Amino acid sequence: MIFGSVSAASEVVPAIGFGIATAAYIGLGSVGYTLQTGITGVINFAYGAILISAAFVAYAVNRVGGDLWQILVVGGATGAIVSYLVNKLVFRRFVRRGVSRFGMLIVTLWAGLILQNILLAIFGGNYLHITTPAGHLFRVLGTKLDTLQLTGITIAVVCVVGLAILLKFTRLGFAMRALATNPDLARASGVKVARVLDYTWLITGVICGLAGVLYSIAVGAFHQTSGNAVLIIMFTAAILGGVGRPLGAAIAALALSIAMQLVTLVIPADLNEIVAFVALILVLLLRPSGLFGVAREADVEVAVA
Amino acid sequence: MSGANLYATTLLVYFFIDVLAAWGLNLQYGLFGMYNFAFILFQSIGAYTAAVLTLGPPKHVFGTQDYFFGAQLPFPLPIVIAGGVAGVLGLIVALLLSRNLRSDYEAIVTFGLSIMALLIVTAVVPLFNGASGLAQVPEPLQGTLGLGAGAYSWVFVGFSGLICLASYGVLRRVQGSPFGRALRAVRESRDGAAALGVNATWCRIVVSVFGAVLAGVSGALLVEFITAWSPAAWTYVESLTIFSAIIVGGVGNDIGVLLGVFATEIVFAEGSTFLPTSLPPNLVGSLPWILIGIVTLAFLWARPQGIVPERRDCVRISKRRAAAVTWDVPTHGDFADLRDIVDGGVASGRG
Amino acid sequence: MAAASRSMEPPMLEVRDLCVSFGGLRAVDAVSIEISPHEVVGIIGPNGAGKSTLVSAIAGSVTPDSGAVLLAGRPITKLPPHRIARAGLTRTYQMATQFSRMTVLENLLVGAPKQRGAQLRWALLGRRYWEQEELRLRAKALELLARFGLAKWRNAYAGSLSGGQLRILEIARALMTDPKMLILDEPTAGLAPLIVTEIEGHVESLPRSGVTVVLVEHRLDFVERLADRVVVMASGRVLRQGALKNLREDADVVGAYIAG
Repeated sequence: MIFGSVSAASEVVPAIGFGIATAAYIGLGSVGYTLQTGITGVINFAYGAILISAAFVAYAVNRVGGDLWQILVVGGATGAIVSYLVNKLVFRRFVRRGVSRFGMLIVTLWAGLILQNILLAIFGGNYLHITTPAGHLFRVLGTKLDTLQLTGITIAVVCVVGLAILLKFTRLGFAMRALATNPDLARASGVKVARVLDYTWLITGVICGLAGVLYSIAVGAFHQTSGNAVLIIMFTAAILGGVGRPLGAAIAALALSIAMQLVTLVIPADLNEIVAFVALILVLLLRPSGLFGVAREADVEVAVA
Repeated sequence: MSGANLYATTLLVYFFIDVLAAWGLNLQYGLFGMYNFAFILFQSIGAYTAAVLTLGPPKHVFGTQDYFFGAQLPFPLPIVIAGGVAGVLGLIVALLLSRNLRSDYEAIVTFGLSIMALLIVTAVVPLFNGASGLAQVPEPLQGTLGLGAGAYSWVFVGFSGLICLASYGVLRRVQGSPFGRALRAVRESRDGAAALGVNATWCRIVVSVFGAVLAGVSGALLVEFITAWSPAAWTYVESLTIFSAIIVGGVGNDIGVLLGVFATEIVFAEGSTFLPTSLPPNLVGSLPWILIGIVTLAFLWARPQGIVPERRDCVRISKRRAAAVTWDVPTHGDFADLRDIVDGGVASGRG
Repeated sequence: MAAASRSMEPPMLEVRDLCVSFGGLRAVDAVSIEISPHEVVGIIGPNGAGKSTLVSAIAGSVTPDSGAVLLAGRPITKLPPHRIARAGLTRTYQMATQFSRMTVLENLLVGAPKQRGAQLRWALLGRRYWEQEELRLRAKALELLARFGLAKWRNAYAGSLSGGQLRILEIARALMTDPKMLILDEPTAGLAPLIVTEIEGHVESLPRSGVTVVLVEHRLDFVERLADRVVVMASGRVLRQGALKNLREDADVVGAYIAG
């Protein structure tokens, strides 16, 4: 615990810098999460498990000599495939059945738990570690960031920009946005809902996988349940930014990450996630549409795929 | 004490304790429609309370367990107080959830609460000894009864069973009464019930406190039996498992919930014995969870009301008392005698 | 005789300068209404006129910004919905508020006022203390079901009833509360003419049972046959009050409907 005199510049700026570094994967994951929920209507609590499963597969490739870029590709692909399959095999069936919102939550929670246990069965319960070549330390605006962190930030920014281009300038992106805002109208206007939803699961799955690989490298040691802690933070950022609003999620993720690092200056480091929980509880109790969202009836339509 | 004895008593005590907790959640979720993923906190605080009230004051010496308060109270005070403390927490949760939240948002808020509590207790060691948790909790009446380990365990089984039985009696009274009917009405339609004069806030408080007390007592019994309690015992997975037992067993039906808990226990206790020993231990550890998960999903898809569903028309009236009715019973074409008034007559409608 | 008694009794419902706004929008703008006992009053007006908001504000599910509501002289303005129901004002809803996973009979029994068994302490003490009352209430509920033609469905889950039956159930259930006043929120919306006639018959019988009725409706012929007078609302305000047949030709009323 760091009480007493804290030299502002020497402690705060690195904390902010570290916050920005962690915001790389938190933000990426949050953007993927908010799009997934906004478009498909499913609040996916297996996202953390899918995220970490990508890390596991990346680890396997890393063990046989895969470098950073290879494992990123593999991780993204894993995220896409697992997300797509989990939706096709599990989620979609329940959406079609018309299960209640709470029921859907139980479904996604169990899907995540089952996935975690499959990972446990395959890889064992030990903490794993992805080895990456030692990089350099760069001085950036008063703080030090290493190669890995800068790579992570770059990848996150590139992905988010790529997503923005997809959403704004392509037909698929337009259809995705239509589904997120008004599913009934979208369906009636001839949008091929099933196809768009499939693409959504694949694309947000890639993002989930990438975030998982970046996260597991940044955090060093991980195992099956490591995805859960980071899921809550991503979920909170998604809600804060307004479900279905990628820019809101990105900003919220950045703010949350920095806040989580700044708060370690006064409370024990392993308690810092509490910032996310407090924010989550407050926003759901007081303003479920999010800080940037439009105050609608806070209803996310569950799209029938 | 023989191995079989140990196995049987452990299984039975766990069964009674889990059933008690599950009935508490069934009251909140099955009957009233409260989506409380922080439920496990009630059991947890019951366990911690009972533990610190049996361990005695903390020594604050390096190498001993660190907790914020302790006493050495005689049986059954720690268990009773544990129930009370859990009840207070139940009241707090009820007041927190007074806003009309969407079902899944309510679950997520409470989910967040439970993980936050886990975080705090793990990180703030002086509270309840952090991740290591509390251990060496003296068993109640250990010396005074002068029984051998085997006999003692069976007494514990009997004691837990009695508490279960008593709780069942109280729950049955509540659920089979017009008050229970009001609870279910709020579950079905908050607005509809309010328009008919039902005070949903009061109902929520009652259900939350009652269910919390049951869970708190269950936690106290558990810690007195296994003499240890740590954060690993109350993760979100525990809450999820109780929900599963209710969903599979029977939502809103205590006998059904009993069945659901029993089935879950069997999977964990017996599951590994049916598997070939050549399987890697990780697979063995994960299979029960995968099985329970798949079964839960199957029930949610095919039969969400569970194996033994809620009774139709839960209010129980004794036929004998109905037969003693002295006032004039109205007769109409569609129904003709007192039987109709007692149990609504033969079901002639759909449903 | 009815007219004479009406002028001497205090009004059953008094709404004084009631204002409700959402965000910056005035949904109910200084509305004042008086309803005498045993009257049947219709509230009509185009969509968005504020009828539903007015009903919600009177019945307590929405808190008004200013103004007062009095039921038989007793102020009920900021009370929660369940207290207003217990005071004698029951409202029905347009959307699904039936207790789907409970039987039709149970649906009615929830409404019975001041049931001993519905109080926690008597429930805990045992059924000996509330059984007799429950039997009596069941008899009353069955009579109501017979009157509304639902007796055959008494043991069916409410969720299995058709739309029209649900509306009738809603009214029967409301009557179980022995209300002084009943507010029916669009009881015939989306229903077939045959069911509408049936509901009309039921609503017509209400004042004879001593219930004052406020009817929010879109079907003008339905309202004309049933209501003693109507209150026309538009843009959150009361436009006109009076007998519907007189108001049909009123230029402002017609204009409001065309504009709204």
